[in-house]
Amino acid sequence: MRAAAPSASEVRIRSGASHAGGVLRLLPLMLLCALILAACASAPPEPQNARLAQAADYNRRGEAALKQGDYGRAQGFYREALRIDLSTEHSEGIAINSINLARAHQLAGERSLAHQTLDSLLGASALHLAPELVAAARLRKALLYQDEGKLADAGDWAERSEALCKDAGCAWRGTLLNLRARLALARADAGAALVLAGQALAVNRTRAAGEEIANSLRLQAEARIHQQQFAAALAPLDEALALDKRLGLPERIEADLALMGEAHAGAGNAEQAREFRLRAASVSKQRVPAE
Amino acid sequence: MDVDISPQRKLRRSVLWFALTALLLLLALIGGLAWKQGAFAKTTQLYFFAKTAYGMSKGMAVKFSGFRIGSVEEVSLEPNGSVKVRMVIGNAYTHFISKDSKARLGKEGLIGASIIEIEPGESGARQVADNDVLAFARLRDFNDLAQDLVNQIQPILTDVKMITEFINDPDNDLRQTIKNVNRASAALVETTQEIRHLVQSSDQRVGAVSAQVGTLLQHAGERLDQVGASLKTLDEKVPGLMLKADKTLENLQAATANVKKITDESVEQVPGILRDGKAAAEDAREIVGGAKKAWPVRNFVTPQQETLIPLDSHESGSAQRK
Repeated sequence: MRAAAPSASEVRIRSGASHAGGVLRLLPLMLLCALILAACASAPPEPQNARLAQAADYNRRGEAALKQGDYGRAQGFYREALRIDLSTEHSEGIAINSINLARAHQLAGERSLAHQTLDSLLGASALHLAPELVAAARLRKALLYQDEGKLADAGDWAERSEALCKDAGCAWRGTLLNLRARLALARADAGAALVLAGQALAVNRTRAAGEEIANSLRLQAEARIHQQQFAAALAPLDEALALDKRLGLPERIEADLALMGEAHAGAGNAEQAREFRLRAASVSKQRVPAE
Repeated sequence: MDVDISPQRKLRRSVLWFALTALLLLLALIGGLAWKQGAFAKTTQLYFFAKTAYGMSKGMAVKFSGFRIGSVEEVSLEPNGSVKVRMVIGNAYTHFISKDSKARLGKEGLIGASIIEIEPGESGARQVADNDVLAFARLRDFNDLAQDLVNQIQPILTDVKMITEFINDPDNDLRQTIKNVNRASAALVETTQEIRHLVQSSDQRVGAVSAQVGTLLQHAGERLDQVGASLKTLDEKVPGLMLKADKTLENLQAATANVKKITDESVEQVPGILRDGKAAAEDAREIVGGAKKAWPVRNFVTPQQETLIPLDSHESGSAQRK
């Protein structure tokens, strides 16, 4: 029995279906070709200026030398990066490397050179630096004065920095508030220190700035200890200790433990105070000075 | 049977157009890349002739004031034994090169890669044209410096040997002087003995004083005897010492010759090894650099940025605690 011949419309449908199948088979190949062509035709990334790449490399080496405690070499690298940035009038790089060089001088005990470096940067009005970088330079100056024990000058420069770093969007806002809290503590104004440390903590938590969060907590605890509220100092210290342990910062772990010992001693827990002080001494014994 | 095949044709036509467009785009891309690599840049050929091809190779850089302006395209040996070097210079740089400019074979640093450095000529001379020939000079390299050093040390060693031989000669003035001193010392001993006898036989009134003088003179005589003995010993030992010094100097000269030989061998090998190492490192850097710029690697590589050391409110406090 012969099968019935397909009608013209059936033939068209089958033919169309077979063409569709062929297109589907070709589709991956076509997509691959299109992808390769699109990739080849896509604009290459903006080539980085070779001089800036070199400056970035020196900057990175400077940071590595600084972490190793080799301040002389770090200064050399930062000076070279600065020279390149100056030769290309790269104002952002000039600011970054000047501030870093000042820090390297400070760590090497060359405070006058650190001041000179920052003064040169802050005096170069022709650079038209971004306000945030000027704020960073002023903050570095304030930290430098604080390191020298010139607290009035430190406060003055902190205020100047804050003038350009008022909103929470400023990267140094939390650090600045912490510094102001520390200066308030140095003036024995524990109330102001507590308020400023609280503001700093809020800003730092927003920015998830781990080290500065721990600093804010430690400052709060120190303010509480000043106010003889020893029990209230323990909670922030617990959190600060946990954070510092997570970040692996031996010097701050030691500070946290020492403050915990102080808080416990103030609260009359002599045994616990002794335990924390022993732990602080143990950490101090094991860590190297650079840490 | 009525079969409509127009969709199949349409599909073929579409695929054909697609493939054609892709091919055209690919050709345009290749053309663009070739243009960017300077394949269509206009160049000028320049030549120079050298006595030897040592240190020269195809592809080496041609530089002007430290900038790469072209490359060596061909190094060939002429029938007369000289070496013909063909350079290709970008037309953008030919206005720096005058007809009396000189090509010099030098190195980038003491152990850097060899390059051809174009030294500018007089300002009034005409600019070079295609197929012009430049004068050539070879700069002094590490081998030449080492040879100069050896040439300077050699006469010094010869002088030292001559001085030693002069001292060792038994007829020279120095030796004669030592012998005369020896003889004079012996005569002095005899004189002292005579004085001693004379004093012993002198007036008894100055007995005590004479005895003291005698003792003193006796001591002087003893000392002079010792001096004489010492000089005699010296006279015996000096030739041996001089012989030893001479041998030592000969050994030193032989050692210097060995050092020169080693230096000569090193000079041939070490710079080559260092050059190869540097070239390999540069190649690797170029390959990595190229790979970083190529798709898709470039999408995964972020360019380095200068970063600020974090400002830390705790840092100064910690310094105070310390």
